Amino acid sequence: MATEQMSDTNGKKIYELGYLLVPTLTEEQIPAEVKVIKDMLKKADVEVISEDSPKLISLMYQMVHGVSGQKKKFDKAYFGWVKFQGQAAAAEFLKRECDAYEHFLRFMIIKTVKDEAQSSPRVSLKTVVATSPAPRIDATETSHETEKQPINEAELEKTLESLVV
Amino acid sequence: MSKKQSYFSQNNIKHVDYKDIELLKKFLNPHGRILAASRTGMSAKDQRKLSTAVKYARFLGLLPYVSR
Repeated sequence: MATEQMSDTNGKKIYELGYLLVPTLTEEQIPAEVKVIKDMLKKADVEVISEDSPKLISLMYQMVHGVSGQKKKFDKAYFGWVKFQGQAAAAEFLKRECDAYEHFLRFMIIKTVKDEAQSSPRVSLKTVVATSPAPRIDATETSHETEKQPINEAELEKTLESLVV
Repeated sequence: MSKKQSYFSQNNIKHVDYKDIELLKKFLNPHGRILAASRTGMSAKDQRKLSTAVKYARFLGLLPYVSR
Protein backbone atom coordinates (compact mmCIF):
# COMPACT_ATOMS: atom_id res chain seq x y z
CA MET A 1 0.00 0.00 0.00
CA ALA A 2 1.08 3.57 -0.61
CA THR A 3 0.91 4.44 3.08
CA GLU A 4 3.30 1.61 3.88
CA GLN A 5 5.79 2.92 1.32
CA MET A 6 5.53 6.42 2.71
CA SER A 7 6.68 5.46 6.19
CA ASP A 8 9.15 3.06 7.75
CA THR A 9 9.21 1.32 11.13
CA ASN A 10 10.55 4.37 13.01
CA GLY A 11 7.48 6.39 12.13
CA LYS A 12 9.56 8.39 9.68
CA LYS A 13 7.76 9.40 6.56
CA ILE A 14 8.87 10.47 3.13
CA TYR A 15 8.05 14.09 2.31
CA GLU A 16 8.78 16.37 -0.56
CA LEU A 17 9.36 20.08 -0.37
CA GLY A 18 8.51 21.75 -3.66
CA TYR A 19 9.28 25.44 -3.85
CA LEU A 20 9.38 28.49 -6.07
CA LEU A 21 12.03 31.10 -5.45
CA VAL A 22 11.40 34.71 -6.46
CA PRO A 23 12.78 35.55 -9.93
CA THR A 24 14.39 38.75 -8.63
CA LEU A 25 17.30 36.54 -7.57
CA THR A 26 20.11 36.10 -10.06
CA GLU A 27 21.48 32.74 -11.22
CA GLU A 28 24.61 33.39 -9.15
CA GLN A 29 22.53 33.75 -5.98
CA ILE A 30 20.82 30.38 -6.41
CA PRO A 31 23.58 28.18 -4.89
CA ALA A 32 23.45 30.37 -1.77
CA GLU A 33 19.66 29.93 -1.64
CA VAL A 34 20.04 26.16 -1.96
CA LYS A 35 22.45 26.26 0.95
CA VAL A 36 19.90 28.15 3.06
CA ILE A 37 17.27 25.50 2.25
CA LYS A 38 19.72 22.71 3.10
CA ASP A 39 20.46 24.41 6.41
CA MET A 40 16.73 24.51 7.13
CA LEU A 41 16.51 20.77 6.46
CA LYS A 42 19.52 20.13 8.65
CA LYS A 43 17.94 22.18 11.43
CA ALA A 44 14.75 20.18 11.09
CA ASP A 45 16.82 16.99 11.49
CA VAL A 46 15.68 15.22 8.36
CA GLU A 47 17.49 12.96 5.94
CA VAL A 48 17.62 14.20 2.34
CA ILE A 49 16.87 11.44 -0.16
CA SER A 50 17.00 13.28 -3.46
CA GLU A 51 16.80 16.82 -4.76
CA ASP A 52 16.86 18.97 -7.84
CA SER A 53 18.43 22.39 -8.02
CA PRO A 54 16.16 25.36 -8.75
CA LYS A 55 15.65 26.17 -12.41
CA LEU A 56 14.00 29.23 -13.90
CA ILE A 57 10.62 28.33 -15.35
CA SER A 58 7.73 30.25 -16.85
CA LEU A 59 4.73 30.02 -14.57
CA MET A 60 1.38 29.06 -16.04
CA TYR A 61 -0.27 32.02 -14.32
CA GLN A 62 0.85 35.16 -12.55
CA MET A 63 1.56 34.89 -8.85
CA VAL A 64 1.30 37.78 -6.44
CA HIS A 65 3.91 38.04 -3.72
CA GLY A 66 4.49 40.73 -1.13
CA VAL A 67 8.02 42.13 -1.28
CA SER A 68 8.88 44.70 1.40
CA GLY A 69 5.29 45.76 1.91
CA GLN A 70 4.53 45.96 -1.81
CA LYS A 71 2.65 43.38 -3.81
CA LYS A 72 4.38 42.27 -6.97
CA LYS A 73 3.28 40.03 -9.80
CA PHE A 74 5.61 37.34 -11.08
CA ASP A 75 5.29 35.19 -14.17
CA LYS A 76 8.63 33.42 -13.76
CA ALA A 77 10.24 31.65 -10.82
CA TYR A 78 13.00 29.24 -9.86
CA PHE A 79 11.42 25.85 -9.29
CA GLY A 80 13.22 23.26 -7.15
CA TRP A 81 12.37 20.31 -4.94
CA VAL A 82 13.85 18.20 -2.15
CA LYS A 83 12.71 14.75 -1.09
CA PHE A 84 13.43 13.92 2.52
CA GLN A 85 12.66 11.44 5.28
CA GLY A 86 11.75 12.49 8.78
CA GLN A 87 9.24 12.62 11.58
CA ALA A 88 5.95 14.47 11.18
CA ALA A 89 7.09 17.01 13.79
CA ALA A 90 10.20 17.72 11.70
CA ALA A 91 8.04 18.41 8.66
CA GLU A 92 5.94 20.78 10.74
CA PHE A 93 9.06 22.55 11.97
CA LEU A 94 10.28 22.86 8.38
CA LYS A 95 6.95 24.36 7.36
CA ARG A 96 7.31 27.10 9.96
CA GLU A 97 10.87 27.77 8.77
CA CYS A 98 9.71 28.00 5.17
CA ASP A 99 6.84 30.31 6.14
CA ALA A 100 9.35 32.75 7.56
CA TYR A 101 11.67 32.59 4.55
CA GLU A 102 11.00 35.61 2.33
CA HIS A 103 12.64 34.34 -0.87
CA PHE A 104 10.02 31.66 -1.31
CA LEU A 105 7.36 32.77 -3.75
CA ARG A 106 5.45 29.62 -2.87
CA PHE A 107 6.20 26.22 -1.35
CA MET A 108 4.45 23.04 -0.34
CA ILE A 109 5.35 20.01 1.74
CA ILE A 110 3.63 16.82 0.63
CA LYS A 111 3.80 13.16 1.52
CA THR A 112 5.33 11.08 -1.23
CA VAL A 113 7.02 7.75 -1.97
CA LYS A 114 10.70 6.93 -1.81
CA ASP A 115 11.10 4.89 -4.94
CA GLU A 116 11.57 7.10 -7.95
CA ALA A 117 11.19 4.14 -10.29
CA GLN A 118 7.53 3.85 -9.35
CA SER A 119 6.70 7.06 -11.10
CA SER A 120 6.71 7.31 -14.84
CA PRO A 121 9.76 8.79 -16.60
CA ARG A 122 9.65 12.53 -16.33
CA VAL A 123 10.31 15.12 -18.96
CA SER A 124 12.20 18.06 -17.54
CA LEU A 125 10.24 21.28 -17.26
CA LYS A 126 12.88 23.42 -18.87
CA THR A 127 15.26 21.16 -20.67
CA VAL A 128 14.24 19.24 -23.72
CA VAL A 129 15.80 15.84 -23.99
CA ALA A 130 17.59 15.62 -27.31
CA THR A 131 16.95 12.21 -28.70
CA SER A 132 18.90 10.86 -31.60
CA PRO A 133 16.81 10.10 -34.69
CA ALA A 134 15.53 6.58 -34.84
CA PRO A 135 17.85 4.36 -36.86
CA ARG A 136 16.51 3.73 -40.32
CA ILE A 137 15.63 0.18 -41.03
CA ASP A 138 16.98 -0.87 -44.34
CA ALA A 139 14.27 -2.77 -46.20
CA THR A 140 16.73 -4.81 -48.21
CA GLU A 141 18.63 -5.79 -45.07
CA THR A 142 15.54 -7.04 -43.25
CA SER A 143 14.30 -8.97 -46.24
CA HIS A 144 17.70 -10.58 -46.48
CA GLU A 145 17.50 -11.70 -42.87
CA THR A 146 14.11 -13.27 -43.31
CA GLU A 147 15.33 -15.18 -46.32
CA LYS A 148 18.07 -16.73 -44.25
CA GLN A 149 15.66 -18.48 -41.90
CA PRO A 150 14.24 -21.69 -43.33
CA ILE A 151 10.48 -22.00 -43.08
CA ASN A 152 9.34 -25.05 -41.23
CA GLU A 153 6.04 -26.05 -42.82
CA ALA A 154 4.90 -28.22 -39.95
CA GLU A 155 5.45 -25.39 -37.49
CA LEU A 156 3.70 -22.93 -39.75
CA GLU A 157 0.65 -25.15 -39.99
CA LYS A 158 0.58 -25.58 -36.25
CA THR A 159 0.56 -21.82 -35.63
CA LEU A 160 -2.09 -21.29 -38.30
CA GLU A 161 -4.30 -23.88 -36.64
CA SER A 162 -3.89 -22.26 -33.25
CA LEU A 163 -4.86 -18.92 -34.79
CA VAL A 164 -7.98 -20.36 -36.42
CA VAL A 165 -9.10 -22.03 -33.21
CA MET B 1 -15.97 -9.44 -20.99
CA SER B 2 -12.52 -7.90 -20.76
CA LYS B 3 -11.87 -5.38 -18.01
CA LYS B 4 -11.25 -1.78 -19.13
CA GLN B 5 -7.58 -0.87 -18.65
CA SER B 6 -6.58 2.61 -17.55
CA TYR B 7 -3.40 4.40 -18.64
CA PHE B 8 -1.85 3.99 -15.20
CA SER B 9 -2.45 0.25 -14.96
CA GLN B 10 -1.27 -0.28 -18.54
CA ASN B 11 2.00 1.52 -17.86
CA ASN B 12 2.35 0.16 -14.30
CA ILE B 13 2.31 3.65 -12.74
CA LYS B 14 1.77 3.33 -8.99
CA HIS B 15 2.67 6.86 -7.95
CA VAL B 16 1.67 9.95 -9.91
CA ASP B 17 4.27 12.69 -9.70
CA TYR B 18 3.03 16.28 -9.76
CA LYS B 19 6.23 17.31 -11.59
CA ASP B 20 5.46 15.01 -14.50
CA ILE B 21 3.45 17.63 -16.35
CA GLU B 22 3.64 15.88 -19.72
CA LEU B 23 1.79 12.93 -18.20
CA LEU B 24 -0.73 15.12 -16.38
CA LYS B 25 -1.46 17.17 -19.49
CA LYS B 26 -2.82 14.01 -21.13
CA PHE B 27 -5.71 14.12 -18.70
CA LEU B 28 -6.63 17.79 -19.08
CA ASN B 29 -9.03 19.24 -21.61
CA PRO B 30 -8.11 22.36 -23.65
CA HIS B 31 -9.55 24.54 -20.86
CA GLY B 32 -7.18 22.98 -18.34
CA ARG B 33 -9.88 21.01 -16.55
CA ILE B 34 -9.34 17.44 -15.37
CA LEU B 35 -11.10 14.86 -17.53
CA ALA B 36 -13.85 12.85 -15.88
CA ALA B 37 -13.19 9.30 -14.74
CA SER B 38 -15.57 8.10 -17.44
CA ARG B 39 -13.22 9.64 -20.04
CA THR B 40 -9.95 8.57 -18.46
CA GLY B 41 -11.22 5.04 -17.69
CA MET B 42 -9.47 5.09 -14.33
CA SER B 43 -10.47 3.49 -11.09
CA ALA B 44 -11.66 5.85 -8.35
CA LYS B 45 -8.32 5.44 -6.58
CA ASP B 46 -6.25 6.29 -9.64
CA GLN B 47 -8.53 9.19 -10.53
CA ARG B 48 -7.98 10.62 -7.04
CA LYS B 49 -4.21 10.26 -7.45
CA LEU B 50 -4.42 12.05 -10.77
CA SER B 51 -6.54 14.92 -9.49
CA THR B 52 -4.30 15.39 -6.43
CA ALA B 53 -1.18 15.53 -8.63
CA VAL B 54 -2.84 18.03 -10.99
CA LYS B 55 -3.82 20.22 -8.03
CA TYR B 56 -0.28 20.19 -6.64
CA ALA B 57 1.08 21.12 -10.08
CA ARG B 58 -1.46 23.93 -10.38
CA PHE B 59 -0.50 25.32 -6.99
CA LEU B 60 3.15 25.57 -8.01
CA GLY B 61 2.30 27.15 -11.35
CA LEU B 62 3.36 24.13 -13.41
CA LEU B 63 -0.15 23.72 -14.80
CA PRO B 64 -2.82 26.35 -15.34
CA TYR B 65 -6.04 26.59 -13.35
CA VAL B 66 -7.80 27.82 -16.48
CA SER B 67 -6.61 28.22 -20.03
CA ARG B 68 -8.11 29.70 -23.23
